[in-house]
Amino acid sequence: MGRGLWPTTAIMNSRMPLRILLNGEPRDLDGPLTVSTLLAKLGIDARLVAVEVNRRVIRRAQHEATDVPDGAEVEIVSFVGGGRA
Amino acid sequence: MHDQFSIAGRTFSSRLVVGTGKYPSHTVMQAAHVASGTEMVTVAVRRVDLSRGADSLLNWIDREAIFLLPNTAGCYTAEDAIRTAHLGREAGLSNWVKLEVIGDERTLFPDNEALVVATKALVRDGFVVLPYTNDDPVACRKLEDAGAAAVMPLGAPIGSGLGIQNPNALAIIKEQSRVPVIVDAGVGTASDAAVAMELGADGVLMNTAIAGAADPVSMAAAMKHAVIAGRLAFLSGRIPKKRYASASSPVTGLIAQ
Repeated sequence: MGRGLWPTTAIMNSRMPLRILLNGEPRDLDGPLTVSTLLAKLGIDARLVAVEVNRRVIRRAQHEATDVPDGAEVEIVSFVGGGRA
Repeated sequence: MHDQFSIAGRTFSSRLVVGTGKYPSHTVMQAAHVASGTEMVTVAVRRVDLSRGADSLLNWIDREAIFLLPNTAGCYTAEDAIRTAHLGREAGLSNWVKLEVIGDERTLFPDNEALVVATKALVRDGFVVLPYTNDDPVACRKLEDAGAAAVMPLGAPIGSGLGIQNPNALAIIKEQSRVPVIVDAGVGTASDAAVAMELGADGVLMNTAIAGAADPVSMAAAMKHAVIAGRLAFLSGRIPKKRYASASSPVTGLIAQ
């Protein structure tokens, strides 16, 4: 467990518990998270959805580089059938 | 046989735009789209159901043949509509949006003030904005001035099936508009679509009329023909309406004379 003995393992195992608001519902997850890793955890194909973090649309090209911090408000949307409200 | 029309530089052969909501199944929806000959369908932007994964709607739409038009259905404020439009752009990788800002829950009539605000903001952000609005020439003019790429006046309340309630207003809107006019909402059956086209509309948008019909696929085909027929009739220059009869056969050479 000492950093000196197993440095790589220690870094790989370091987790931060996070609570985010996901599509309006609180969700506890192990961080750190990026938009990419969040979608992967949820089993969602990034090409089918759009993502907002704290009211900002995160373009697909930025998914890997965008962190999802503790307390973030995340919206994951896609297209559904609808002509109307 | 039918002429094409353009919105924001994109050309369409079909003047019928169709929705994707309220179909009995995705299979029926897909067949109805094909039967309608549509080249553009509207889709709503909604939260993914996280217990089920991302919606598979896009698997049922041939994106080679059909252009996706995200809408802001369900939005009651300009801010929500703007947010939804941005999300729709990201999800669909097109900068078009069918803008709806609803002012009243029962009638689903638009909030025209908020529409103008949202249109200006979205045009500034590089969107091609197609706003749903009333059959009010003043509202349409304001939206056009705000930068809308087309205007979409209603025929009657959404889903009401009442047909074209205010034909005179639609004719006036078409006369004054410098952008395409697409009659959106209220169509119930084929003749309603034909009437809209006969008034000079560039296109018709409908959802419930097809999706809610007993046989959506056959109704979609009916609508396809109705839009073509109405457009041809408009281009052919109809006879005037007269109070009295005007005989079609010669009045001389009668055997009884």
